[in-house]
Amino acid sequence: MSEIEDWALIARAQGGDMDAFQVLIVRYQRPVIHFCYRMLRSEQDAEDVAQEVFIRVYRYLKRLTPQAKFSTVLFGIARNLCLNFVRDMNRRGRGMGQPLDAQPALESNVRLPSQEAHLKEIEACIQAAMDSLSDDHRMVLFLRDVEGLDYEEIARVMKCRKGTVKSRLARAREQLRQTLIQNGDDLL
Amino acid sequence: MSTPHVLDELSAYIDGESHDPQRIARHLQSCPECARRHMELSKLAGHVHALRAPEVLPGFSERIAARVQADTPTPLWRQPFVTQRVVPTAWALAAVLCIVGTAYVVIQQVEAPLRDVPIATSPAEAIDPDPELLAHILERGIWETPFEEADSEEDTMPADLSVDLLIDALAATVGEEGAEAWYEEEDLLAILETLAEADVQILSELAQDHWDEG
Repeated sequence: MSEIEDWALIARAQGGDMDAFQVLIVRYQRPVIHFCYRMLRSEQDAEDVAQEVFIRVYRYLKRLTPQAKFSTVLFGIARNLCLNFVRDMNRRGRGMGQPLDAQPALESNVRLPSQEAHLKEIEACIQAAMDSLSDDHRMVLFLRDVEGLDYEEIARVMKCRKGTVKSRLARAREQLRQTLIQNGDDLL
Repeated sequence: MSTPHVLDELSAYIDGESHDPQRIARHLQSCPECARRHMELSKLAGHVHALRAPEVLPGFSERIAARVQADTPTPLWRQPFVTQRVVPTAWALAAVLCIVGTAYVVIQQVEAPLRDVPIATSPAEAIDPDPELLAHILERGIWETPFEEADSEEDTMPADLSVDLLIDALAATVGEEGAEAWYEEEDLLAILETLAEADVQILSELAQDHWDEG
């Protein structure tokens, strides 16, 4: 996705072009919802928070300047809103959403039932292991391995230093590896 | 002769962020233990990458557009309540604040000042805050969370402004209780916009100090 194009759309949206803003939403709705989904473990909550992410972007549109990748701005907001959401849920004594593997799936091509079942099984194992990670470790893993952000970009999103990203990722992966081994999941 | 294991460096290596990838590659050719771990971590990254996104329900972007448009309020200054009640009250409040502020400044100058911040007595003496720095505060202050301690010597990002710093600065300018309340609302941008120029100056200098220390 072209960054120049993103910021061109933002410039148009800053001028009041709602269509341009909607193009941005369509472009980024999937990764933002996915990010929130992995953090909140509920499809409904993820969509609600993702909506709020885009509304915040719109609210602060005029202050955005093309100094970073637009996705880092989005994920930075998503991160804060997810953490706020989790904190509020904990305060109210409501646990997080239902397990992810209970969610309806998902994108993509038509697969044979056996393939689909196998993929779901792998996904459930990985998600169960990821659930054992802290929020920060889960986020850093998602931003790197799912979204493909580099360390500098992740540092921007997480508001930490590049070295912290590096060490968090190493710890997150090691913990994930050990959890998978302990669970007896034959994935490695 | 065997070289030291590189287990701790494999995560950065598979991300292409290692400082010395050639050394690690050479080691992997001769060390079965590290090579096995490398393979496991690579597979793990592949599995995480393969996690699938939930389906986006139809009408997602339209719902946001509708909410945005519904949220767009009538400009505040055109609302009757504002023109008839708020504006006169605000002027009265501003007058009171001016008096209180002046008294505060005088007291600060008479007693030992807590901060070595020059207080402008006329526009000519006022020091303009560094616009770039101020822009940075406004830009980053919205989303900032406190930094963790650096846990690696390779931490390379420049020192930055943290919410803690902002809160300290706010506490110095508006009192701790007010700062705490605003912090709870997490609307730092709004806070910064409400600060008087002198307070912005203080913030700006605190940020500059922080920056310099970093």
